[in-house]
Amino acid sequence: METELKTLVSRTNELASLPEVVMRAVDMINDPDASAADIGNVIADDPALTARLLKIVNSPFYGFPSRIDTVSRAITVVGTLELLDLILATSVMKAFTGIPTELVNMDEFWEHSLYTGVVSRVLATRHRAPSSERFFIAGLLHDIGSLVIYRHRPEQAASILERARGSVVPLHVLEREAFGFDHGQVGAELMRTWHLPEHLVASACWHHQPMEVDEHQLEVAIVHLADVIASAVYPTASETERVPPMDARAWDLIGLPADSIDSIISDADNQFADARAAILPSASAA
Amino acid sequence: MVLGADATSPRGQMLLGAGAILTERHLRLLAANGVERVEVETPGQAQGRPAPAADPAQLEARLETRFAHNDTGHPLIRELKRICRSRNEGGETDGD
Repeated sequence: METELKTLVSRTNELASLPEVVMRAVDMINDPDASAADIGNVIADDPALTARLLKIVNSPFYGFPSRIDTVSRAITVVGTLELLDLILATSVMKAFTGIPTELVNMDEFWEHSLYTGVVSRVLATRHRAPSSERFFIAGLLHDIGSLVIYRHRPEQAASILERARGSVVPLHVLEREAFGFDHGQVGAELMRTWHLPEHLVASACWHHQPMEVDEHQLEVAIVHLADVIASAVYPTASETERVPPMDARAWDLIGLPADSIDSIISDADNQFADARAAILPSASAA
Repeated sequence: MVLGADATSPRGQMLLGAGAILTERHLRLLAANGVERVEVETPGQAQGRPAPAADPAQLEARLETRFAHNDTGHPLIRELKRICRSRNEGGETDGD
């Protein structure tokens, strides 16, 4: 099954590779000799990416008081790691095309993902976790493995989605029965081939089994809960219409009272409109 | 105002795709092409979102299905269910 998982991902990688400039920027994370200015220079080689990034960091979603005009200034204000996460988010979203529309409405897919990202960010802030932006990106990208499955196994995916609608067995379990792996593992494998940071890999891989991971447990638990919350309050017609099973231990781990959920969702709703306008490809094109 | 479904002429010619933000110009052109009515999204209801349940029994059945994988005795799930119920009753399906 491991071989089949790698084959699936390598086929995707041929069609949905990240741009060279993004790969170079990602590799710089691990290079202790690379400075913020070096990273800025790499990104500035790609005017379209630079424009997208500046649009996002100047949006109300970030709410910085003064205008940010250059990538190096964005790195100073937003932080190197956060900016790299944003580069990944916007590049990954653009990397997927050719997904069968009868299986998934891409606007809905990214709306659910974006809402999950926003709820992750709000939960992380409430938990007083440092660098809440990491959580936003982890939530945004948690389901990208589903896109790989939709694209390369469309008939099986359609059959599994249909079964999930009328089943007491959750979608990710049906995927494992059919393929030997689920969409979380597929997303994680794709992220590894793209050299993405480990906390993003872990969040994608384990978002349906948050307590089975040893490292990055907080990130995984928060993305797991955000997925449950988003599925409950921001449902889409093309998904299974079921809220994935919540692991109560994840909720205990972040230690928030259940009656705080109203204000968490209210914060998420407020941030979602700004995030949608700044980040979603269809909103950008409008 | 957002177009909720593709607008076609009486002869079936596609004029404007669902999701387009309707302008005065669009409305004039649609009318000029013989379109008398179009479907629009109601505020707070994005394309493809499930329609609100018609009655309390339908709503409870739908919530039962939606939360079937979860322990509805857990405080978080109970709260989420309550919020879903109130959003549906208010005719809202999202928080825009």
